[in-house]
Amino acid sequence: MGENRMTRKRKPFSFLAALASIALVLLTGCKPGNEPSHKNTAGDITDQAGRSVSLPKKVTSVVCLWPETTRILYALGAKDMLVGVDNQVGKDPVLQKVWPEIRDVPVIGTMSSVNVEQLVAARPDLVIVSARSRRLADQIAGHGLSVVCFHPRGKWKSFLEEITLTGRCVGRQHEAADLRRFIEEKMAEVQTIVTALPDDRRPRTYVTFAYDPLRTTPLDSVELAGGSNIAEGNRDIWYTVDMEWLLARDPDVIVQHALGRYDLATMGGGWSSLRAIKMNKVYRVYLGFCGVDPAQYVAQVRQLAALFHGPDIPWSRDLAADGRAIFQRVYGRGDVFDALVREMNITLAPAETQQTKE
Amino acid sequence: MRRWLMILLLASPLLAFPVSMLSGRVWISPRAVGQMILTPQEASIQPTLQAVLWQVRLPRILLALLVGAALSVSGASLQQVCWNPLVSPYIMGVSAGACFGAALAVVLWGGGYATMQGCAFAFGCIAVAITSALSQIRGDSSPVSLVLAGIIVSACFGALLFMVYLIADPDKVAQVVYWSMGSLHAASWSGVIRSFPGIGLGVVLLYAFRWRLSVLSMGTEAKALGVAYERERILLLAATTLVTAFAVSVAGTVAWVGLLVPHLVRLILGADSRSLIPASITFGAAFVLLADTLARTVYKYDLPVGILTTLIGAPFFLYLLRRSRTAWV
Repeated sequence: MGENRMTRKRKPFSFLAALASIALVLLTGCKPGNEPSHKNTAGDITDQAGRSVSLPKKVTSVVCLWPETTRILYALGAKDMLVGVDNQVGKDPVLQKVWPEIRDVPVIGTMSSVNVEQLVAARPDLVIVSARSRRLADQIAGHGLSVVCFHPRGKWKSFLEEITLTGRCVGRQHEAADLRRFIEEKMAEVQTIVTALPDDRRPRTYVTFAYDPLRTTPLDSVELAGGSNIAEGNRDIWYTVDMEWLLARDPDVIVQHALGRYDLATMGGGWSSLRAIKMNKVYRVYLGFCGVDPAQYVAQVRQLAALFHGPDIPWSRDLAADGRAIFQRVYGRGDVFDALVREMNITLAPAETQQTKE
Repeated sequence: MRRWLMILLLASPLLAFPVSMLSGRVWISPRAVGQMILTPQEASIQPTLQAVLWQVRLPRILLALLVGAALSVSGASLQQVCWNPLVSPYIMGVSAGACFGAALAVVLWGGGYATMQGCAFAFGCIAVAITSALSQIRGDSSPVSLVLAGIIVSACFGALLFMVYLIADPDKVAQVVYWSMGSLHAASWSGVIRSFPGIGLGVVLLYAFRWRLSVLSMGTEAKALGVAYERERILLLAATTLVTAFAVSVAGTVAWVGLLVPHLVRLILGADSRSLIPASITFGAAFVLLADTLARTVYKYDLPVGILTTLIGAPFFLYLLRRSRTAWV
């Protein structure tokens, strides 16, 4: 009797204990920071923020909050997978032309923040963010989504790696390998010529920021094109210099970001005293928009090599045709290069040098 | 002693000027500086040195002097008019409005120094107009109302600025952030020419009214002395806004100058506006010039001068507050 009573008394406890266990299991499954548990994963990768990520076996929908990778996805023929993008990519001068419909893809965040409700509602198989936004990646991963971070930090080799990783993430390995091979071949043509050049034939080059000519960066495409960047350091950051620093270094060439609208020759403040300006060696080059562009990066290095070394570079005779061919291969639209040249007044041939008044 | 201190403060720009002329990333010897000033056509002097001195260093020095004088005299005048020692030129919302204007210029029109400065000036003035209108809302237009209205306007423009930061291209945001920290790195003769009329006019006006400021600092009691209190107060507020807006438009937010310099001068010379105003003009000019000289030489990159004025100003202000046992007026 007593035992029965005890058994009866225990029953509610057992029930509550079972309920608590279920709740615990459910809550543990939903706790922030929990990585998605894909039963069918396509394996693990280490992304460019050094995170280990389990890739879903089949990716059909992607949210990309990093314009650089959005361009790569387009180039790999994976644009239809995009179900959400960041707020900047719609302003990309290249994507606006090759894929005007990008404006119709829902904007669900910025490069450093996201509307979680929209993101969860979009139910993407994969989310891509910049490696600079690692905290954002951790936040998104906390909602049970696969997140990959990409950012080549201006270094050529890691950009190629980004193409390969992107291809693997979205199941376009062959397209990525083809694109990478094309880019490597085009760059190898440059390297074959410029690596043999002695140091005194590498023009000392100053790179200007689009919106402030006194901001510069150690852009690696200058070195790849056979020039010597006078900016200090090796990080891909833009920093401010003062005019005395610039006058003391007196670069041979100035590479002006073609998004910038200023005219250095008429700016005053010492600019007109620079040798590069006196010799009319200010080259307008499109240096990209929010990261690297797979077509423009190659075109840019080849353009710089041609402007730096002229007749030594076979394609310097027709830079427009060279750029057109690159854009045709990468984006399927060679005419976009011509449109960029027209809109941004990109330099395709060094102007006649003027005799310095010194 | 006080007379000699007054002379020292008045002469401080003359002492700071040669220090700044001889400092920079490019070494120019005093002899070469003298040659370039006395015989600019001398062929033996390198053209690069000529360019550094005439096109870079000299306009930057003049702009630093103008900005320093503007912010200091504006701070000194506002503190007298508002009877409040913690009022600075930025309390009227000029800085927040100007920063928003500069951000809009960069985002909408891609920047450019002249565009940024123009928009910064326009929005600085709009902010002050709103502040003045809000301060009248209770009909009394007291200094407290003015300060509160300035805080409200600054907060609103600050929120709008964050909105721009959120939607703009990060590269553009970086430029606005750098500018808003207060920097003279883009100084040129055109910047000097653009800012000189506004700053010059405002400074002359405030200097001319230094006699009245002492009376106005008595508050509404000044009315009993026959002063057209409201009219003169509005005129002086307009003059301080003018000089501040011009200074902010060319240099961004160079913080603490308008607060620190008048306090230091007041501590040395007393609160009499007749000596406070001229000494604030000259010492403020010298202070910003020396801070900017440090900003362009102390580190391998050009630092925003606003960072240095804050790093110097904040602890020094604390020291002044601790040291000062007397009332501020």
